[in-house]
This record gives sequence, C-alpha cells and structure tokens, in this order.
Amino acid sequence: MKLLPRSFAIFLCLGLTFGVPASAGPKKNKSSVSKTTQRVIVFARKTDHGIEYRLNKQIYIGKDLDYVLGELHIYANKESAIAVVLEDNMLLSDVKDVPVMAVKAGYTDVRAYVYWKKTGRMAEILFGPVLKANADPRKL
Amino acid sequence: MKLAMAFSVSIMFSTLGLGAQQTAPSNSLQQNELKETTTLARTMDIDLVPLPLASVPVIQLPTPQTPETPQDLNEEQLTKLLFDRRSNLPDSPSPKISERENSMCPSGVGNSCALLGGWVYYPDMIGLTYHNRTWWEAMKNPGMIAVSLTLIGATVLDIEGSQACIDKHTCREVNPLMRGPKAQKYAVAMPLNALVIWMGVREKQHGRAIVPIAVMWTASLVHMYFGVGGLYQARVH
Repeated sequence: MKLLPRSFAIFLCLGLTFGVPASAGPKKNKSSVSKTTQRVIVFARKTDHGIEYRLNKQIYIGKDLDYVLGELHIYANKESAIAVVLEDNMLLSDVKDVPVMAVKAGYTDVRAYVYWKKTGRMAEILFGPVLKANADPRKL
Repeated sequence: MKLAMAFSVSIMFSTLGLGAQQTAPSNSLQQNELKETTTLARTMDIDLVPLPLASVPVIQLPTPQTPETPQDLNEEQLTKLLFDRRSNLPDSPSPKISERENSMCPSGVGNSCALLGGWVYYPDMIGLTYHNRTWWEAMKNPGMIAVSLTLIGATVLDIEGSQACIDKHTCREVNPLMRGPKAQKYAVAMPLNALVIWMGVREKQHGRAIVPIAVMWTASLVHMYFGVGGLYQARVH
C-alpha cells in the first residue's frame, strides 16, 4: 500500500521537474531552427589591456568571446569553421586560446593564421606532429 | 660495298655489347662514330677475307625504331605534338586529404593537439559544454538527464534510508526541514530538487554546465551517504 503514494510522489516530482518548465515556455516552431554553414573569422591582437578579439566588427575581451562562440554554434552545422587571425605581436602560446574556446563551443574545424601587420601578409599556422619533449635528442 | 659491310659490322658490334649505352647521340658523337667507321673500314679493307657465311647462323638484328622526326611533320602536326599532346593527357590525380589530416588535430581524438597547446583533443561527444537554444534542448542532453536522475534517485534513497532508521529508533533527523512524515519530506525535497535541476539546466543552456553539474553530483553523494547510512543502521540494530 505504501508503494502507491511513493511512486505517485516520485512521478509528480518528475513531472514537475521535466514537464512544467518545458510546457511553460512559449511554443516555438521546430522548423524555424535552421543550421547553416558558418565561416567565423576572429581577429586577435594584443593591446595594453590584454588580448582583444574582433568578431563581426565587435570587440570582445577574454571570456566574452567564449560565450559568443557558444551562441553562434547554436545555428552552425557540422561544416562550420572558425579562422583565427593572430596579429604578429601575439605570443605563440596565445594560439591555443580561441581554438580551445571553439572546441568547447562545439566547432571541430578551427584554423589559425598569422598576420604580419607591416607587410600585410598572412599565412596559415600548420603544426607538425606533437612529440613528447625529451632531453635526449636521439629520442625526439 | 666494302664500306657498307664495314658499316654493318660496326652496327653488329655496337648491338652485341660494345656500345651498350643507349643514349641519344649528339652531333659530336655522330661525327665521332663516322670517323671510327671510316677507320674501321680502312682496317677491314686490309684484313678482309671471305667468311664461311653458310655455316654462320643468320641473326635477325632488330631494326631500331626511330621516332618520327620533327622535320617530317608539318606545322599543324608539330603544334599537336608540342601543345595538344600535353593538353590531351589525363589530369593528374589530385591528392586526397583524409578527414583526419584536414582536421585541426591531425593526431585524432585522444591525442595531443598542437593547436590546443598540446592538450589532449577530446571533442564534447554529448555536447555538455554546448549552448542550447531552449531550456528543453538543454534538458534533453544525456549528461543533464543522467545527473538529474541521479539526484532524484539519491534523494529518494536518503529519505527512505533516514525513515527506515528513524522507524527503528536508531537515529534522529538533524535537518529541520526533514522532520515530519515521509510525505512531507518528499514534498520538501522534490521541489528543491526541481529548482536545482531547473537552475542547472538553465546554466547549461548558456554553456555553463560545469558548476551546476558539480553541485548536483555533490548533493547526490551526500544524499547517498545518508541514505545508505540510514539503511545500514536500520538493518544492523
């Protein structure tokens, strides 16, 4: 006999947890969600205040870009890609910042470029295979 | 006649191995060859004796296949030879780049990736860190479903374990919110769970799933600890 009210209470709680918030929101047409192939270009440069990212003529600092990339990915399909253009005053260790954010947001195609401001030229940064650092040169 | 014979003998020598190198003769080489032929003919002229030709087996020498000389072609044919031939050649195969090679992390999933600063590349397979358009989409994420069900299950275990222990008078309830009948406990605990889950999913919707998931797992562990402890005390005593 005790089992019935318990199971009813659990069912009620599950309903409250999953059902009510879902039904409370405005009904949205599922077909309105269209995922497109995005080509996102992020320009990164070092300023006095730190690293500054420019995306669609908007400037973001630090974690703001993380949020923006996540929001952009909602409408991105699997073919979408991100290109990070790093100005030549950036450190080599800064190359990972945007790719890490992009992977967290859900992008799988991320390319990094270096931009030489004086010559106006740019080139893709392609790394070789990752090796474990070793003091013994024969093991490299 | 003698000259012709000498010439044929020189050709025979050259084909039988004396001139093993088959290279395109240059003009200077051709001149040298002519000189040698004349000198050889002069020597042959002295030592020429009748050969027993009947006993010698006839060897059919392969006639050299000379390509059509450009001089024999008219301008149109020459144009074809020089230009059209190249254009008629099949296109060289374009290199196929594998999906892995073209990826941002060529070593693949589970290996160090240079573009990630040497960190191991693990794409979020269940999309726990991804942003979602709606609350419901975020709730449908397997990670969120798992952690929510674990929290609810652990809460049930806690309430049942505590009640069993209290019924046996082997323990007492410390939490002031949970003092009372079991239905009251459920009435308090489950809406709290619902609120925590709703807030957690809302955070996940905006890509901030780590903190709420950590909170929910910790709460689940605490519930499990007290639930299992209560059941154990009820059974032992």
